[in-house]
Amino acid sequence: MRNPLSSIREIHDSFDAGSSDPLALTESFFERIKASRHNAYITLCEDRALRQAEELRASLKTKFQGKVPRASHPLYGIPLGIKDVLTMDGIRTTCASNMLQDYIPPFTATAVERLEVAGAISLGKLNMDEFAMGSSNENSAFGPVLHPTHPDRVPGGSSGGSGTAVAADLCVAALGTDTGGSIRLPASFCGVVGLKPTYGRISRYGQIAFASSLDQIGPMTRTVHDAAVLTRVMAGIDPCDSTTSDRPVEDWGAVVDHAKSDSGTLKGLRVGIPSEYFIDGIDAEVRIAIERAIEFLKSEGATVVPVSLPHTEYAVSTYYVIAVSEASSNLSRFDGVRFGMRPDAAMKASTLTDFYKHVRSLFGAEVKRRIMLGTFALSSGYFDAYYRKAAQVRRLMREDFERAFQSVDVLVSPVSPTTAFKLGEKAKNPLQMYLTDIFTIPASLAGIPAMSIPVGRDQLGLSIGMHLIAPRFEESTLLRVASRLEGKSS
Amino acid sequence: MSLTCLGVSVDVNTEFEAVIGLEVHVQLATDSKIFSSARARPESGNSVADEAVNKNTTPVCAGHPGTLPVLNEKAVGYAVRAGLATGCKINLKSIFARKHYFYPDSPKGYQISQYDLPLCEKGFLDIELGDEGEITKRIGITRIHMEEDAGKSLHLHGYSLVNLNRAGVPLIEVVSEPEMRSPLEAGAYLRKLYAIVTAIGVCDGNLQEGNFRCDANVSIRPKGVSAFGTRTEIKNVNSFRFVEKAIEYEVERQRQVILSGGTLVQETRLYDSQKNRTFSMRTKEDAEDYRYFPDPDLPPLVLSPQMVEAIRAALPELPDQKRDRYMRDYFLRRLDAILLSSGSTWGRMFEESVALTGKEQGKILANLMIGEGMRLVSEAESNPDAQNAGFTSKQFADLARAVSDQTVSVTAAKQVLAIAFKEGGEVGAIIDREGLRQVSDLSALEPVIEEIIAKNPKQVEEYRSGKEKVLGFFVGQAMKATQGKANPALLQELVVKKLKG
Amino acid sequence: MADINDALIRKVAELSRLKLEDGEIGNYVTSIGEILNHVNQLTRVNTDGVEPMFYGIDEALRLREDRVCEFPVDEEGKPKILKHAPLVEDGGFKVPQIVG
Repeated sequence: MRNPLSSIREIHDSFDAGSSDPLALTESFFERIKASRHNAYITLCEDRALRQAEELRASLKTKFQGKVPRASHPLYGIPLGIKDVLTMDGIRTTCASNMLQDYIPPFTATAVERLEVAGAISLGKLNMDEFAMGSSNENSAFGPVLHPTHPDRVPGGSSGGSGTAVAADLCVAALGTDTGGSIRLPASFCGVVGLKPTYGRISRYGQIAFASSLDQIGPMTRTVHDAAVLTRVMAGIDPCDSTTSDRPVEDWGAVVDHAKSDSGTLKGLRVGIPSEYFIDGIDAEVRIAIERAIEFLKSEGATVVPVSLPHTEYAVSTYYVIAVSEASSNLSRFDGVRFGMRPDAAMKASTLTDFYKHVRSLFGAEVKRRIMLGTFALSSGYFDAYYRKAAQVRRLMREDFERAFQSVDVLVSPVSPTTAFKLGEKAKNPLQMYLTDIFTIPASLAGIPAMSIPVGRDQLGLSIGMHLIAPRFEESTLLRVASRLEGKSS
Repeated sequence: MSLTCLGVSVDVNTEFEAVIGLEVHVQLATDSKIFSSARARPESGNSVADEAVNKNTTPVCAGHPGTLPVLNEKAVGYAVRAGLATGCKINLKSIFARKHYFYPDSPKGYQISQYDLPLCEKGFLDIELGDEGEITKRIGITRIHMEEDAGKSLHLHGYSLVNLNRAGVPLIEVVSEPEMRSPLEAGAYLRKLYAIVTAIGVCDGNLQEGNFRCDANVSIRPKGVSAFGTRTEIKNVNSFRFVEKAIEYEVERQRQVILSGGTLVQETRLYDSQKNRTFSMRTKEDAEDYRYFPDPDLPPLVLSPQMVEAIRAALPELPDQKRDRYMRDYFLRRLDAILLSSGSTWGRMFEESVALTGKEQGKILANLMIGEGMRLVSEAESNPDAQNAGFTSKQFADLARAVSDQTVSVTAAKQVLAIAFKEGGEVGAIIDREGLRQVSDLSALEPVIEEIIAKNPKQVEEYRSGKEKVLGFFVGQAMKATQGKANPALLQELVVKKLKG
Repeated sequence: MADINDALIRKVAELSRLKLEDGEIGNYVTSIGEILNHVNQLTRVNTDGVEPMFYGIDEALRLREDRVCEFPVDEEGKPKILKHAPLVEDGGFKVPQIVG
């Protein structure tokens, strides 16, 4: 039998010891998934996964003498969950939308392909907010995902299926995507590690676009080391994505190992506390947990420096203008002509406009709202006042960070002002929902890496995540700090 | 009732001038599409019509979710080359933007184009006007930007079928200043632009396959007025002649509207070449809001000055340079040199023939082609039922050599051409078969001339009394007697000698 | 800044090719109005001379070689890209008559 909630390293040790193997492990996950009521998965790729697992089990004996080839295949036999916004050749990919309820893509996302080449097994496609638009995972055409431990609460969104699956042991690790906090918020709510790398680190090829200049794939895992390993496998230039960076990929697993073993690693680290992130309205228990974590960092030798990010109050406005504008454009391709669903009524439409309207009635309410907002912000006469203006404020926000990072190495804050809220609590008020992302949005706008690491629980037992933000391409700083925080401060 | 136009009173006698600006879509001759690795043009020997519907369509071309554009470097190089060949300033930083419109042949719901910062700006080209091409007029080019082509819809009864083979084919759009004043100038501009893009090898120049398509913006105004009238845009005309005719029609239509007291509306019109008229497609009121914005999937295109200079240094000879060389080296008339440097089929035939014969034959080749060659072809075009073999450059080369070494006379050469065109075959064989070899043999010609002199004492008398014109009579008679095969220069020389002697 | 009313929402829905039922419009007017009202705070930021940030990365565009890589055809030689389409005829994506 397998140990619940094992890390990649523990699983590899069990393979080496012969106490488990890729096939047995994969089968056990499918049993758990089928028994679970979290609604975390939209589609299972059981046959495919079992085939992969069987081959990996066989090769482990025949090719690798029973020892996991960790260097060449860092994810050998590791069962993963894939957010349903990422395409997989031949596997239904819905983006949690009726628009794509039967869509089977003809190619695999670069990130997923790289994981599978490294030995990972894809268990299935994880539930999410439709087109990744949401903060609670209540906007799925396949129904809401339940919080891993508190079924009356939301797991956070939009990668809610990923957060719940990792926390509820329905996979070893998962892929999420983050446009304004969609990895970090559910990681915080579900009590797992979530990393949004620098924009451009991981190819977006095969990620169904929400907001192209903000979208970024990242891991959601149970340990910091697992996040490091997944990120390393996925990162790096991709000829299919013009926005990937040619920055060299680092061995982040080794960075984590080193930080874990060196208690002096944070000595001299300058930790910035942005005053704008410690506002009224933060839940007292959240505040206490974060403050305790900051004390812990100090005890490890870090110095704490107050900083200011003066444009933070404009973050949500800036983000919503940019994200919805890009979304309105990205979602124009859903017209029921070359792929996707086409309601019967569409073929009887008397005009082309009617045809499109029939097809596009398959979008959910939140998606429609954002498309309309975006269309408005880009339309003639409003472009300068909205889109262009927001892009300018975005630059100012990025400059805020650059200024702050002249005096600090990492910024810390809560991921969210509250812990996981109740299903339906904010569903009626879009603006309140948007404000949930207030702390995660600025890093998305600046394109810089950020992370959520569990640092405690409230009285209800709901997880509290600490938010770490670093300069561009400084994922290693995030991982070092997270390694020290992991399991120590709660 | 008195009519006014742009603040000037007008009547039937008012002279109007046309104001014409052209937007030309030039297909770049790359193998793959602009943003995807799908085939952009059929493999050599095939035509677009041979390609199975949607065969050249990848997930990127079809706008599948999750796909991203990656720019083709050759398309960029070609666009820069076109910019340099038309005197444009090359923007070292240019931006790709999304232009949104819903239409089944637009797979993503937007077209990737350039809007605010195009690749090339502020160029020009010179057009030649006048009977001898002696008047040069410079037409400004506002901008040249890169964009992707749309797909094609086949409209059937009650439904349409969309073919995306063309979607994503790389184009440059060349936008002129509104500086042309007549359909003739517009035609000259198009021919010159065509000559340039084919000469520099960035466009295959196949008009039937839509490699070179033109939209014309047309307005008119009373001569002397500097304000612009309301313009209409005539879309997608793909023959130079039809562009001229469409503009001609449109200018007259606009004049009629003004003179009948009507109002012109800004609109898009289509040209029906069969009826030779334009008709309204849509007015500006129902024009789309394109919602341009910089494409976040494509960061700015940044070129190094070194790269641009390398492209400039490697520019092949441009049509104007070629024209000047033809005039200088082959002593061609300006109009002929313009014609043969214009990237037309004749231009290519001329170049190939010169390559076979050497440049000494340039003048003879030009005369053969522009005189008899073109006459035969245009005659054949007006009689499409006739079967013709057509010309090869080797035939022209062989014939030019035969003319130049006096194997055939110029008159006989025309006969050879006509036969070669209709039936095909080796020039040498035709000359022999038809007995057209020129007689330059003194011993053959002398008896003929002596006989004619003997038979026409009256004319001999006239010549000797000073009427030198009579010479033509003797030459003509001798030519007739030799069935046109006598070498005319030699003949004349002999006749004079015999008459004087 | 725009006044968000029924007419504007209808116009934007039309541009977006979205069909709104009469009952939905009021809800969208309220929620979109509220969001834009919040967004209007951006007018308070002085952005004179600020270069807009339209991209997630600073690097310039990377180009690809002009090489053809065709998408496969099935056993019968039909382009595989057609398999994803709701309706296909004679190799073309079928849509209703394109007029209007």
